[in-house]
Amino acid sequence: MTTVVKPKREAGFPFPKKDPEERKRDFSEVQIPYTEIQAVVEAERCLQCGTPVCIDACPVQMDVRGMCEAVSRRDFKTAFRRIRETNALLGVTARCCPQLSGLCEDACVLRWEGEPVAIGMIQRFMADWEMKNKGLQTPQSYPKTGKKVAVIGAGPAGLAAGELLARYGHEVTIYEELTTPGGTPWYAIPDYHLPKDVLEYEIEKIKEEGVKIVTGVRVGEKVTLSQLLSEGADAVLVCTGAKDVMELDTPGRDLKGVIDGYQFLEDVFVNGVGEYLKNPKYDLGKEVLVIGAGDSALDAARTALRITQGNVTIVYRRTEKEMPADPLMVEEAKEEGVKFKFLADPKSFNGKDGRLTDVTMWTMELGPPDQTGRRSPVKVEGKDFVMKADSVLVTIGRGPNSFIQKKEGLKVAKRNAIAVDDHFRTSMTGVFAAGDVIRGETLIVRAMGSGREAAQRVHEYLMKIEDKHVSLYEAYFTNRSWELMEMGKDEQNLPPP
Amino acid sequence: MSHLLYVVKRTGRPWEAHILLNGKPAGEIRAGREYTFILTSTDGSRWRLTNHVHGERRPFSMRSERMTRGRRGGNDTPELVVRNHLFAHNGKFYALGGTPMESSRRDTLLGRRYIVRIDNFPFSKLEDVDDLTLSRLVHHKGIPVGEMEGLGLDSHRLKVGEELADIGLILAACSYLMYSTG
Repeated sequence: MTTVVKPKREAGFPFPKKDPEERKRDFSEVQIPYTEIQAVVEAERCLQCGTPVCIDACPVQMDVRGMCEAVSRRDFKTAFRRIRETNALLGVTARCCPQLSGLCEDACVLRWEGEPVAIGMIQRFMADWEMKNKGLQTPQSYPKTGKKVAVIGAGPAGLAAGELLARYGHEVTIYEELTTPGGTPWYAIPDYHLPKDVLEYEIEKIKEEGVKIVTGVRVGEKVTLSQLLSEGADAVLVCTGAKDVMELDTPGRDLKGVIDGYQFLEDVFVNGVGEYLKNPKYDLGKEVLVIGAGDSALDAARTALRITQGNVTIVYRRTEKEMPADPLMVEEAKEEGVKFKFLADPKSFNGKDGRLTDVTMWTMELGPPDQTGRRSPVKVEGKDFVMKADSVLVTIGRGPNSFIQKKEGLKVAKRNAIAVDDHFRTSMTGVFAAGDVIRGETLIVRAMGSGREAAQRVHEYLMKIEDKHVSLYEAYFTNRSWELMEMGKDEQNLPPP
Repeated sequence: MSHLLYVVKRTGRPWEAHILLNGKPAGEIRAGREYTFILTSTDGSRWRLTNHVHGERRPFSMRSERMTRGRRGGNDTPELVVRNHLFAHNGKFYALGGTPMESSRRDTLLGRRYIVRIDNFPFSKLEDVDDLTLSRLVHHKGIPVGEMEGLGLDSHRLKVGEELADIGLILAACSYLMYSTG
C-alpha cells in the first residue's frame, strides 16, 4: 500500500510572513493568515490518523483531527465547535504556540515525509472566522451547582480554569491585580505576535459563559484567601503566574540604562503600544543590548528594534545551538536585523554620570554538559572585550510569582513556587493552585492545560467525587475515536468530563 | 559500532504491522482491545503494549510486559516503560525525539528524529520525573544513540546501536505506535 502524501504545506514553511523590512517598522502582525481556500487545501493534507498524535501533543487536547476533517469539507461551524470545546483561547494559542517545538505540528506524522500540517494556521483561520461570524454557541455546560469558586489571576491558567469551572456549573469570579485581564498575553506578548483585540474578544466570550472578572484587586493585599473562603467562596484556585524576574549580580547594574526586560515589555504593552509610543518611558538610545536567549529576550529585542530603529544585539553566554528560544522566532529576529553575540556574558556595566555607556563582557567557552544536556558556559580569563551600549535589557528568566504564598504563608517548593499535591491542593484547605505559579514559566498552552487539570480537581473536591477521578487526557482518549467522529456521536455537544 | 535497522510497515489493518530486522522478519504487531497491542517476535516471545503508564493513560507513553504462555496477564515487571518520550534503560535515561548535543533545535524540526542518551539527568527513577521536566524535554540535549524516520503507512525505520540493542524490537514497535501509525 502506498500512501498519497502531499509533502509541502500551503504557502510555504513554516508560514507566510510579511516582508521583514516592512514589518520591523511597526507592530503589525508578522504572520500572513491563510485565506479560506488555503485553510481548506491545507486541512485536506491531514491523514486523519487512527492515533491522532497532534492531539496527544496538545496540553489542552484540542481536537486537531476533527478540525481538519470539518475544515476540509468547509463545515467551519463544526470545526470551531470541536476545537473550542477544550481551548477557550483559540486565537491566542494559534498565534503564540510554538507548534513545531514539542506541540501539535512537531507530532504530526507528515513531518516524517515532508512538512507537518500547518495546524496553527488552520486554527488561526478558524478563530478569525468565528470573530467575523459572531454568535456561535458556547460549549455545553452542566446545570448550576450553587458552588462558588474564586480564581486568583486572569492569565491563561486562570482563564482556562475559570471557563471550565463555569461549564461544570459553578459560579466563578476571577480576581486580577492589573486593570486588564489576560496576564502574560496581555502585557508581555508583542502585538506583532498577538493583536490585543483577539485576546479581548476571547475573554469576552469566556465572560459570556458566566465567568465574572474583577480587575484591580490584588489578593493577599486588599483581600486575603481566608476572607474569600469565609465570605462565600467554596474553593479558591491560585493562578498568579510567573512574575519574579531573575536578576544579574553584575557590577554597575544600578546605572540608568540597565533595564529589566520584562518590565520594559509590560510598560510598552500594558496600556497598548500606541499609548506607549505617544509617551515613551524609556530612552533606549540607538545601541541596545539584550541579555538572555529565551522567547521573552527575543520579544524584548524585536520590540526595542521597532521602537528605536537602531542596533539591537542579543548577548548569550552559550551558542545558538543551546538557545532555549523557539528557533522560528530566532529566524524571524534575524530576518528583521537583530544581531547576535554568542559566547559572551556581562562582566560589568560601565557608565558616566550615572548613565550606561558600555559593557565589559566575559568571553565564554563551552564546557561539559549540564543537567539538561546542554554544554555549560565557562568564563575565559584574559579575553574580556567591551561592547558599546546606550541601554541593556536584562531578560534572563522569570520564576513563580511569590507574592501570595509569602503573604498568606502557603507552603512553597523550589524557587518559591506554591507547593501542591497531585490534586493541585495547597497547604491551605480549600485552596488550590495551578499554572506557572506551581511550575515556573512555561508556554501559554501548558499553563492553560495546568489550569484545566486543576479546575477538574476543584470540581471533584466541591462535588465530593474525588474517588471518581479520570484524567482529562484519559477522558478524551476514551471518547475520541475516529469511528465515533464518523458516526456523528461527537455532534452531541457533551458537557465537559 | 554496528547498528540494528528495524523497519516497521503497516499492514492493511489499522495499527497492525510487520517488523523486519536488517531485512529479515523479526516480529509483528497485532491490535488488541482498548489501545492494547501484542508484539510477537519470530522466536515466539510476546509482549503486551499499552499506554497505561504509572496509573493512567498518558500521551507518548508505552508500557511493555513480556507475556508468559498460559497466563492471561503480563508480568508485573515491565521490560520497558516510556513516559512522555522518556525512558530509562540499564540505569541511563533516554529521550525519544531528543536533540543531539551538536545540533540546534532548528535542525530537528522536520524529518528524522533521534534517540538521545541524557547524561547528568537529575533523577534516578522514571516515576520520579516531574511533569515540568517532562514538558521541557524539548530543551534537553543528549548523545545520539538511535534514529527514527519514515511514516508507518509506508515504512517506519528505527536504527539503534549496541546500548539499546536488547530492547530494539520493543523500541521499534513503540516508536511506530507512538509516532507514526498514521
